Amino acid sequence: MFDRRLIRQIDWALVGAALALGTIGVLMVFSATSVPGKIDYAFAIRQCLWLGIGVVAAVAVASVPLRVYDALAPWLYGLSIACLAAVLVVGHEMYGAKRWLGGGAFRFQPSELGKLATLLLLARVLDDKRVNLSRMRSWVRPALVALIPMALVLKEPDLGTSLTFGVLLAAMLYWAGLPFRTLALFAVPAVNAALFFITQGIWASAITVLAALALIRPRAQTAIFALVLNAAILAAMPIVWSHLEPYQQGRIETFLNPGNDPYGSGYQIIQSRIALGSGGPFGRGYMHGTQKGLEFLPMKHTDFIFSVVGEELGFWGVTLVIGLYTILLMRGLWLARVARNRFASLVALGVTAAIWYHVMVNILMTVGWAPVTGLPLPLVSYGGTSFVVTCVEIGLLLNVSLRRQEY
Amino acid sequence: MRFQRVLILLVAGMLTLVLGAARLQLLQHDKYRDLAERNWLRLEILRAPRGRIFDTSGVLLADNAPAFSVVFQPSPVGSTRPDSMAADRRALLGSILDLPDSVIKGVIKESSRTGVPQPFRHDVPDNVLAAVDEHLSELPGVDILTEPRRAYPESTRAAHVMGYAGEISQTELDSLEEKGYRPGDLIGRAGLEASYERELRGEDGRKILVVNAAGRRVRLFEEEKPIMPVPGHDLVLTLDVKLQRALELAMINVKQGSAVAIDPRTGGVLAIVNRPSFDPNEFARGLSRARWNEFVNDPSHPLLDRAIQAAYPPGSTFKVVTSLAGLAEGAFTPDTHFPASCGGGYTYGGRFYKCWDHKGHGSLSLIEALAHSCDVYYYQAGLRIGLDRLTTWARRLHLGERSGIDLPQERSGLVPTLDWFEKVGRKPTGGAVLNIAIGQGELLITPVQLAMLAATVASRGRVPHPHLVKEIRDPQTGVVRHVEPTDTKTVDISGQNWDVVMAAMEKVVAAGTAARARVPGVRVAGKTGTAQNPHGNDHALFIAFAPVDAPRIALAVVVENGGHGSDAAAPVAGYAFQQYLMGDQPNGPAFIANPKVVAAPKPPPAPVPTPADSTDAD
Repeated sequence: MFDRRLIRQIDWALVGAALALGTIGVLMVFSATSVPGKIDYAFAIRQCLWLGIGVVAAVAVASVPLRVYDALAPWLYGLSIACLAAVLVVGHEMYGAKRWLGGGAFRFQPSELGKLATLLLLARVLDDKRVNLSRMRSWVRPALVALIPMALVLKEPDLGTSLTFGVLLAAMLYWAGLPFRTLALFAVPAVNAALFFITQGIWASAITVLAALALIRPRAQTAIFALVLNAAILAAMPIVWSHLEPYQQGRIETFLNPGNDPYGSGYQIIQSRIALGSGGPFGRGYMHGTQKGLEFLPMKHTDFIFSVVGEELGFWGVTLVIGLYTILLMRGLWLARVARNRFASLVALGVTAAIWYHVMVNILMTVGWAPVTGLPLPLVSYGGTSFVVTCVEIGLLLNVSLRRQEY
Repeated sequence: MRFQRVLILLVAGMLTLVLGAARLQLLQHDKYRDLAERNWLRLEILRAPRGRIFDTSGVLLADNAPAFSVVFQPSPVGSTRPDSMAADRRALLGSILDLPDSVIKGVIKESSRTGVPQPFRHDVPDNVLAAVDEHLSELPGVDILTEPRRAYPESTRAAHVMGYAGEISQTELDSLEEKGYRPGDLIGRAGLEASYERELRGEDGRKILVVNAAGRRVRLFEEEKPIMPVPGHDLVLTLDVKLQRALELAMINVKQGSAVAIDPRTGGVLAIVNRPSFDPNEFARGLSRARWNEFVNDPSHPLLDRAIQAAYPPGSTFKVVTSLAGLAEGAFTPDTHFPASCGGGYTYGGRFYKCWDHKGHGSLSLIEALAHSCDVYYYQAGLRIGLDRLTTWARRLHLGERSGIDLPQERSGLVPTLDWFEKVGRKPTGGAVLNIAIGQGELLITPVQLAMLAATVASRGRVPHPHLVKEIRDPQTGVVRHVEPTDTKTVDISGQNWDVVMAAMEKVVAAGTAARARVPGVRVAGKTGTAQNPHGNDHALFIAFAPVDAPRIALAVVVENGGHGSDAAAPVAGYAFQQYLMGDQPNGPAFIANPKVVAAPKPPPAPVPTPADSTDAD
């Protein structure tokens, strides 16, 4: 399957960090689903199984030449869009959102597939030699590629995942050559939207836009476009707000003011912070967390697995996990830099950006610095689709590392 | 350039995460550790069992019978566990406990506000309890607690002596919180339960439990040793349930009245009967407002401890005091015959004072006068002694002051001394002493004071003050404290004079107005009384002691609106003496037409006892 030369190219730091995180995941899932005296192996065994499947998937993904993905990208993208559309119609509803297709063991989240397909198609689109990102016309195609699945996922609704597409778009555009100023200018609307929710008014947003324009001083055409875009977003925000699901409004309000509603959505954030804080520097000991063990912590083996790490292993355990992610992400970024093939480089950067975004949003949520979005912690949280998709992404990174010398 | 910027962003992101964790885990560790502990540790009070109450021979009168209640267990103050229950869970609980949702919501809200478990339902029957237990895992925050509950096995027997203990109220809590009372505690509200609250109460213990997010106990928190409760001390009374039973049986047809029996050697109270009575168990279970109002508005005042809280004109029983005062002051001798012989009345100050017997008694000596309760004799005796000396002696015999019995809210009664007249701003009329000499006028005496008067004569002025508790026992150590008072308030009257009055009182029973108090083979001394009652029929009174040579029991009986003391009160004493001194009389008191009515829920109205050969009642 591989020739010897390729095996020597394997990025062992990347593989090691990923395997270490996967192993920590299995151990923490076991702890999170068991308490002393009431041991439950079921989740840990299933997580082991996922880990095995993930390793196989990563190896499989790594063994196929990258240009195959390049060629497959439009088809994969088409399939995922079809799935995302289907989920809105026949999806399985949980927690007030339609995010799953199929049922039982064969349930999967099309948004995860969408993420992968969008990443590949964006890389393919931006790989085009004719792309000149200083021209506005060149943005339209990549923007469409990202915004279509984004809108579909938002409709499920799944705010956290839909933002992944925005992050992918911004990161890959930048990597493909978009001037930083332009990127900053287009990041302003996102900041605006946030400011609107925080201040419930347009003044802070308006000042931000003007300040950004004054600082970046873009060409007139771009400036006008940016102004119009921002104005449109500001005008649309109250409408968007009123169209948000009540639980989403609640989450945003809770995030901005957790004390207001300590027993509603804020309950999860507070319990998570207590778990982390009570862990202290050295933790309460593996399997000995009370926040987790006495069921104060919600979704302790999925979205809030990091809180269990913090409670039981303490600050040093937390630092270890974040350190492993840093190694993994830095390897990804390094690969994006050294890959001689533009498509490979863009894929590596996209994968790095996607994992980075998930880690950031999940951990910031557990420390109370981001709203509860329901994004799992890659490789550590218990779960099927997201775990396997992350493994496929790692496989893509491995693929790049094996063939980084190829043009 | 791009690589560096992205790298900086990536690393900055990761550092932010480390910072976020460090803030919680290093800087705010103490705060969150505290919050975590509040989350999972719960202080649970181990209620100290309240002391029990026994009669003199060990019959249990007040006990603890824990009841089960279904409560909402709020999260500890400062905990982040929510105090709420989903609507479907509330519906489930409501259907099990048969309670509307509004009540369930209210209880949850209240316990969350106060931080104290609040009961959904008290005294839950076993089958409901089992149903709750079965669904406990679906009912977060719901818990089953044992509640301390007082039980009085003898129910209405000596109810006023026991009083009752119930759950502390919010107003009581406000004033008693610094004494360590907590919501849900029992507190004595009347009778011995109130007066010995400190001894009976005990000291609560506590343990710290590990609880889960549903508020369920997981295990004991080993790091902190539980503090075991110290049970309250048991009381052993001088009260004799056998005598109490006999006296209550004898008074079964008395609608309103009281009887007090005291051991003249010790001052120990042997029995206290109040009619009507109540069942303290009803109060221990908690009374509805309607039921409470029923008690309070009942014109016969069932909650009134008549023995210590009702004061009556003593009527002719007071002639004992007049006799003692006259003898002690040397105003007359046992042989003194007053100038006016009794022709049915006496004229003084232009007013005619009747003798109760309009046929008249003729000329009598002191002993004959007491035996027949001749009013004319005592009018003259009173005039001879004078108001000041007579009332002063009444005070020396401890009338008009609280007896000091160990029950709460005793009344002192009234002896109209000159000081008293001055205080109320009245001048005693010349004839006042005539009325007081025969126990009328302003005089007011409680049944326990009357019993003490009999005990004073029986002990020749050496009876300790009356009391109910003789021992206080620590059930843990077995240490017994003897608390009977030994102080005798000696009344300074010569032995000769006591003898005279005792002989006269013996004659009252043997050949006078109290023939119906006779007990074959026992020398009984007594004095009947009939107190004029402006509101209705006269009150019947009787004081007595027996046996005369070595008195072991002194007694006072008051039958409100009973008519003559000789008919209504003396037989009660006779039956009690018989029971106490001669042992059981299996057929019940003969003077009660059909003793079987005892068992009936509502005794028929008092049958009028047929006046026997007795010449009268005073």
